[in-house]
Amino acid sequence: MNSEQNNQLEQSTSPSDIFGDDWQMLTQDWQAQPYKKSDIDKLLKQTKRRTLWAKAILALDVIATLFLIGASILGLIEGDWGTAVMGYLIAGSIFSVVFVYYEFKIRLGAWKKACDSPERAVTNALRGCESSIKYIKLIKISCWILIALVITFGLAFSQETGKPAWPIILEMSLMVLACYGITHWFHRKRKIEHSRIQQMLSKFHSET
Amino acid sequence: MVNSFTLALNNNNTCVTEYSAEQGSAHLNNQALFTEWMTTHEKLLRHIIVGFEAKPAIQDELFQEIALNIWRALPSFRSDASVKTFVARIAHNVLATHVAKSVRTIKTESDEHVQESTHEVDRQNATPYQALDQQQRQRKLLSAIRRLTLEQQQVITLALEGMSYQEIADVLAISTNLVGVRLQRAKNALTTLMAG
Repeated sequence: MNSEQNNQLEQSTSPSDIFGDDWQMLTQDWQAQPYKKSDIDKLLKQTKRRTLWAKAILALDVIATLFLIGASILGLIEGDWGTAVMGYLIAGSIFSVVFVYYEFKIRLGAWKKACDSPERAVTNALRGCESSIKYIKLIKISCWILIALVITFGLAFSQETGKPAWPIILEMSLMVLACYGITHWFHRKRKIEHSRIQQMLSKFHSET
Repeated sequence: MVNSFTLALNNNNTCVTEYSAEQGSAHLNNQALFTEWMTTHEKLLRHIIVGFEAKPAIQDELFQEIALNIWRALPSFRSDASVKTFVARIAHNVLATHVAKSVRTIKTESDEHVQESTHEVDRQNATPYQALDQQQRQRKLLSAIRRLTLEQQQVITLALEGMSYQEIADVLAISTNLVGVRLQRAKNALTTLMAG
């Protein structure tokens, strides 16, 4: 673009200045488009409900974490809860704290981006995707640690009660593996999403 | 804490809402404000959404997503900002994220392949665009806008809503000069797409 064109653009104050005769008709047509009217009161209720649910889930996670920490402290004070239960409670408390920390970080980050520049939305989407992939990797690693804990817990439980260890190990391992499977499905989805956003961003940079 | 601010709605909505409330009643005031903003700017939001997304079900989801983001961002609204700009910025933020996260859903519906020959219009003095009737022109325009690149879609949808360079620049957080450059490119691309 030459300097003359640039000057023309700088002097323009509205889009119609640089468009041809059709612009007026284009804007009229655009603004005359029929649109679906919404029930705003219903929308308000839906919006409040969604916000409340998101907050409730966060609150629930915090309560569960506090409960686990409280139970661990109580178990340590009383001292006769058994190795298996104590191991489960302490490991659970640590994982829960890590989980809640990341959950808060991700949620609050997403809420803050609402007013950010749309210009940065694609970059933000890429960062969000990367953060999500990191979070997924964390869950995947947690699953392997959890399997090890389940086996330890099952064996300790078996020693303390005299009952066979394999049913409880099998049951809990299957649950963890199911969790791993779902996480893996999300991991693949996010990786595809990440490559799409990267393509879009490189295209965007090449155009600007 | 007293939460007081004045909202000056822009040229189309010249009402000025004096707003002063205790924090305890702030939630109720936010509800009233949300209802007012969504009612006033519903048309703008719906129009912007259709420029980005062809599927009605996803359009509704995006409208709800925008509403949710407006609700969350409402307490951070500054009195010196225009409500229209604020709402449009949130909408464009959600839509840009949506476009970034999904494969562009460009509908190649039969209604987009307009049969121009059936229209009895005097085309001697009219441009090809003027020669079509309004409904067809709207379809053709939408179809062309959905084929533009993201940054072209952003400037063109805001310009078609009658926003000035400064307002578009405020919504997209870019310079007015860049708005001009992008609009010029968008216009050229739109002309090519509509002629094709």
